[in-house]
Amino acid sequence: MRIQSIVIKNYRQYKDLALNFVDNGKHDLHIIIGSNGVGKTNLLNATVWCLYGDEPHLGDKSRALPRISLSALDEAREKGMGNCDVIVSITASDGGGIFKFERVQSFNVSNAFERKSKFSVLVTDEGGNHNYYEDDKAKECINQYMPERIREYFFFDGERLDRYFITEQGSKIKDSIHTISQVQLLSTMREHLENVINEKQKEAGKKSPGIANLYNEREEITKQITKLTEDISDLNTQVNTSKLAISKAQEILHGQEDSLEFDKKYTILTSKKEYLEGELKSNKLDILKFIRDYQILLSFYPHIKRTYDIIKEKDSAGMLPPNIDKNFLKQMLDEHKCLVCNRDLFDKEESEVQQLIDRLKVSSELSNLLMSMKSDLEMKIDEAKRYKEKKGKLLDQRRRIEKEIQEVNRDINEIDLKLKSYSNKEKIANAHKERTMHEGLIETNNKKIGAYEHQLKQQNQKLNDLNEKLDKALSQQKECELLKKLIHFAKDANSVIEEVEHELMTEVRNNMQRKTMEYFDRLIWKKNTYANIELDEEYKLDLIHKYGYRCVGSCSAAERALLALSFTLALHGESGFDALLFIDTPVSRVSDTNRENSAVVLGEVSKHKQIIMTFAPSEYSSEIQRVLEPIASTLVKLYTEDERSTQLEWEVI
Amino acid sequence: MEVNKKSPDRVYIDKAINSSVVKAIDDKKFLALDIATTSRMELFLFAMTLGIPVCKTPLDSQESFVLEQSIKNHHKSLMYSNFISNLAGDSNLEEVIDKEKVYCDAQQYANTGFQVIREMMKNKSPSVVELELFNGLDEMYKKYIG
Repeated sequence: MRIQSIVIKNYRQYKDLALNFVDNGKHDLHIIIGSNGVGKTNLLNATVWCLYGDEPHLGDKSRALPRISLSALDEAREKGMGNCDVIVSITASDGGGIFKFERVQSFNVSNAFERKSKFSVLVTDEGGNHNYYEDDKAKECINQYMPERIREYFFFDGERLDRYFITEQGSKIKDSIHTISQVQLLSTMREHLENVINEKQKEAGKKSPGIANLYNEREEITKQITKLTEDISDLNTQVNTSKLAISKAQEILHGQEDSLEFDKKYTILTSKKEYLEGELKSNKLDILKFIRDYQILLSFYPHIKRTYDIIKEKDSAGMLPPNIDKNFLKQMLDEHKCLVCNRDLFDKEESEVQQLIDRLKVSSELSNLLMSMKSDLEMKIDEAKRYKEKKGKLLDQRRRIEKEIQEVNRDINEIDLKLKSYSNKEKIANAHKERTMHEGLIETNNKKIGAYEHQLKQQNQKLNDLNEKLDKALSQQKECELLKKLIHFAKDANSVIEEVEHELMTEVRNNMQRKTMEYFDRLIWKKNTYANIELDEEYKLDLIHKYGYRCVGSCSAAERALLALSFTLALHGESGFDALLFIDTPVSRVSDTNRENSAVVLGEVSKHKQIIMTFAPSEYSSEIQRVLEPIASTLVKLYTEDERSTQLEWEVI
Repeated sequence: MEVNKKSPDRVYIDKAINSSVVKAIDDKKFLALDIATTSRMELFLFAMTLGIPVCKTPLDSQESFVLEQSIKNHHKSLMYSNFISNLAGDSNLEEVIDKEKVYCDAQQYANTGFQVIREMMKNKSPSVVELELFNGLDEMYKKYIG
């Protein structure tokens, strides 16, 4: 199926737009160019909305504007209309048939409330006969050509391609392969046979209470198995969500992770600087104290020394007597009396007292004063002699601190320069926190998965045992003989179907694996890095490094985008659905050689398949232009004049 | 060191000096000589050292600066040694007992010293003063000890 035209009325910024996708017969390739905000992704949304009724490529649905064009709504209000319709019509062809899909949704003009949309298709066959279908019938029609379950392989957003193998692991890929293997009929048969087995077992249970008990027990275990399987699936989804969060965080941290380390170092260095500055301040105070102390000590030094010498000299000469009161002796002479024994003094005695007074040129009071100063002066002389040593110590300390501050400042400047190169420190810190949290969650959830899987294994064992018991019980009941045969037959048939289903799935899986690798090899510029692509039993797709490592989680966003594109192209090849490929911004995450390779491969694919691609002008680089423009069937440029309504600027067919 | 009961119980500085120079020292934390960092007696002795090489200046109107209880022996030994070394000869050594003379002598040198500090603060930056004092210390050390 290829799209011939898209006509959009009143959908978001498209008030009235018609795009025709005419095939030039060589390359069914169509290029739409539009600046950011013009509505490239909304063109994809309009297409998907018309065919499937929702808009999966909106950034945030809960905060999106109403689907109806605001200009159209204003006009309708001015005209006094009660309702205004959004209409998207897609004319497509497949073989000789023409399909006109149309979705119409009415909006209340006064409050922009939407009403339920109406989906229809008008099919015109080769003979010119018309058939008109609505809703479910119309849905069936689209599912026949572009099944909703794998619609994301027909219509996808290049911006999100890189997330594909992280978010949509397992179940979705399995669904896709299931759909393209077209084993739905087999699955339906298997489900039907399981119902038959259940009914027959219930019937047997009615004939024997023992069998009924076993059956009830089996029901209980089956419920537990279902619950455990669901829980494991939920946990796996959570693990995948965590992996996505880690991947997002890693992208933010890529090349910037060091900033956290730098930030830590910066904090350490600034506190070290603060400490050193404190030390310098304290050293400065010590130096000032030293200056003050030695200014006193050295200025007084000659006086101290002289005084000390005087004291020492007098002390050596015995002129600093013990505590003899000179005045007391004078008083004795004046009174001619010994004031100790209270008797009169003889002349000789008076003469001796006079001699003593003469000898005591230094009074006791002075003697005491001088002697008390002596040791202090001695200490001061010693202290003054230590001037050089103390000064050297203080100045050495200052030089050391200043040198350290200089070094710290240099380191701080270096780190500051590095930190300035990081755009958003807070974002980086949050990404780091997020990554650590999700790594913890993955560990916890994986442990739970392990425990549940163990329980599941045990329950499955119990179920097998019960099935054997049921089998035996049925054999013992004669009236159950026929039922037993029926059950056995249904089980055998079921096993055969299961095997066929598995074989079909495996074949498709292997082909998908091989073809994805072939495309990937052509798209990627690194030819010697990746050895293979593996789609394992759990339908987890991984890229295998040539050294054997699994590396889809650690390869670049561009490589993951190319991997998703390869998987899509392989799926188109394998699916048998000859549908188009509509890619919004296909190479937004890809650059250089990979970008050119993508253009070449998409160009080649367009020989057999319709490809519609939207590009931002910056994305539509010279490499892309050189490869795609000469072969494109149509080239369209979108523009907006008033930022509300988008129109065709030019169109080349 | 005993204190004569009749002797002075404090040292004084000039009232005007106290309200201008000492206040400015405290406000500007000049050479860390402010009250929070340096005791008043040490500031007094520091001022004395700057006054000694110049001359004594009598105080116009005195104001209590440091009480006796805060004047420790190691402070007194400096004031006394300056007084003693300035005496004409040993014969006058008894004059040392006159504490009032010793204190008065010290106060007058300190008074000159405070005026020197005022000039320093007025004309030189603290770092220049610091450097000059350091150089002065080196010279003194070399002259007296070195």
